[in-house]
Amino acid sequence: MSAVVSSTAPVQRAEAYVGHQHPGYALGRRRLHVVGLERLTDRVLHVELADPSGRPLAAFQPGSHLVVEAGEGRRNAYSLTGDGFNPATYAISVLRLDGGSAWLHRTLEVGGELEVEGPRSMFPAAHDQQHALLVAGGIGVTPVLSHARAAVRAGRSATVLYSYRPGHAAHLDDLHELAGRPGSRVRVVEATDVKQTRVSLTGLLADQPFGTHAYACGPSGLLEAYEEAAELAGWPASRVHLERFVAPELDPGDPFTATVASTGRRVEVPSGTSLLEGLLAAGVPVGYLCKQGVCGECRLPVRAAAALDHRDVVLTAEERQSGAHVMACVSRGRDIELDL
Amino acid sequence: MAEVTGAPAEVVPPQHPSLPAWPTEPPSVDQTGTSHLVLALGGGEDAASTARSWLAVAAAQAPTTLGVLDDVDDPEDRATLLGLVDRARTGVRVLVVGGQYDVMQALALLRARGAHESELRAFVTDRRELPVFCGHCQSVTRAVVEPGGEADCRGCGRVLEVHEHAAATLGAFLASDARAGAS
Ligand SMILES: Cc1cc2nc3c(=O)[nH]c(=O)nc-3n(C[C@H](O)[C@H](O)[C@H](O)COP(=O)(O)OP(=O)(O)OC[C@H]3O[C@@H](n4cnc5c(N)ncnc54)[C@H](O)[C@@H]3O)c2cc1C
Ligand code: FES
Ligand SMILES: [Zn+2]
Repeated sequence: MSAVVSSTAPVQRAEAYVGHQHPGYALGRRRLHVVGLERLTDRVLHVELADPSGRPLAAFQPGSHLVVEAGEGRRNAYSLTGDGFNPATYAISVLRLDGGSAWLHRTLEVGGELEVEGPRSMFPAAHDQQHALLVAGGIGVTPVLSHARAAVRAGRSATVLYSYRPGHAAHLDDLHELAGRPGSRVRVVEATDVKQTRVSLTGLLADQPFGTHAYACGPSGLLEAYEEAAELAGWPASRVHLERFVAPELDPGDPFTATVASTGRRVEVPSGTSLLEGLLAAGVPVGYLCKQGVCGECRLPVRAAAALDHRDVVLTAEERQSGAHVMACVSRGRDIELDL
Repeated sequence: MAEVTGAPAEVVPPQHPSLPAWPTEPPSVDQTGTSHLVLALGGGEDAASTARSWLAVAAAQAPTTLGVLDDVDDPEDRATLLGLVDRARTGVRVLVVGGQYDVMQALALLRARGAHESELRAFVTDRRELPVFCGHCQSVTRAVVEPGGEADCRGCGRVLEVHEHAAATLGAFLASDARAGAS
């Protein structure tokens, strides 16, 4: 599977197993209609998508994301802002940067179409959650809003910390609306600078009910502060969840050799080049999406390796330990034999 | 493949007992906690002395609450226990000491309130009494019995065979009708 958008129109992939799902249930690549566009701030565009024939869409876990075409040969991940329960539309909010996000801002129009894939769940709520502490920084508010909405639907409680720059607070009104509903058990705390955010993080992590799970999404600095504060507050790692939209900067690394087990083909990967780029240049097909080690698309099975340097944020500690897989876009190693 | 001769014999899958593995010494206090809840269940002197030594270490490190209960099934004691859990904050470590019945039931209550294994430490001072879960009427009986033995269900009166399987979420040993099939 390759992430490069083909020139032919995408067709609905046959779903392997749909069980008792409704006829509109689909997760494969398909085109949805753009039914709503709303500018939330000068840089954030809210996009609402619906099935072209008006059928309901596949339900999703809160915190899921949609993979969206974002210009020629480019696909980006965007968190769904709804609660995921029986959705008639999918909604995402896109912060305008330079590449695919700017393309979406420029190109999308109501009545037009957009190719999507998913939803995919990488940031779900824990099943034993007694209360949720939701931490959002900037555009990281999107999956947090999804979790807050799901909590409200389930009658559960949540505390939201939203850190934003004044004038750039997408969805703040939605959070206040959730908190203001009669009987709502959602509370919103706001922070508008780094110091306030740290103080609030420390205060909130020290005073959450027993059995709370915490979820955070935002810029790297916020996520580091969050993980640090959670550890200091005595939270076991099993309660501390986060999602990264962008990966930390990585050094170019040392050159190494990878071998494709089925063909015996040897691929030399120089410093500054990723295993993914090396394989693609050698004509070995590998699927990819983010090229930053955050989406999980480029996971490759490993038969043997002299060393593996996992630099992604997808694999769990146990998966890293086992050495059975490697994320080709960021991770490196020595003499890696790929089970391809 | 084995040759097939006559009617196939009943295949009994191998049985894997899952019995609680209690530590032989009281576990230490987890110093990564930012508060501690020490629960002494049952009146025995062993339980009290373990609770006291935990308390001394825990309180020197972080705010610590002590709960002393006679019987987890007593409604007042149970309300006290739930109150302590409601007031506890994430970051707490819970230390439970007492007889096997009370410790298993208290741990199950804590797990139902969302406790993770890394937040719980327990020490059993006395294994005489087992919590026995009846698969028929779903009640839990406090019984003086060994796994593999028999006990009377306090819910439905059946004679139960106590299986060598302790279910953590139930805080009890699974049991079923010892006379089933006999007419
Ligand atoms: C699971 C997941 C969920 C996501 N959900 C969302 C979401 O809900 N909303 C959303 O907007 N994005 C979300 N993202 C990020 C999104 O997928 C894209 O990475 C983002 O839109 C940037 O795409 P681009 O093509 O415009 O970036 P490019 O222009 O190609 O830039 C690439 C990278 O350069 C950096 N960069 C470029 N310009 C800037 C700038 N001005 N300021 C800071 N950094 C910059 C960023 O790190 C960026 O990702 C999500 C990502 C993941 C993995
Ligand atoms: S392409 Fe996203 S993890 Fe490698
Ligand atoms: Zn019974």
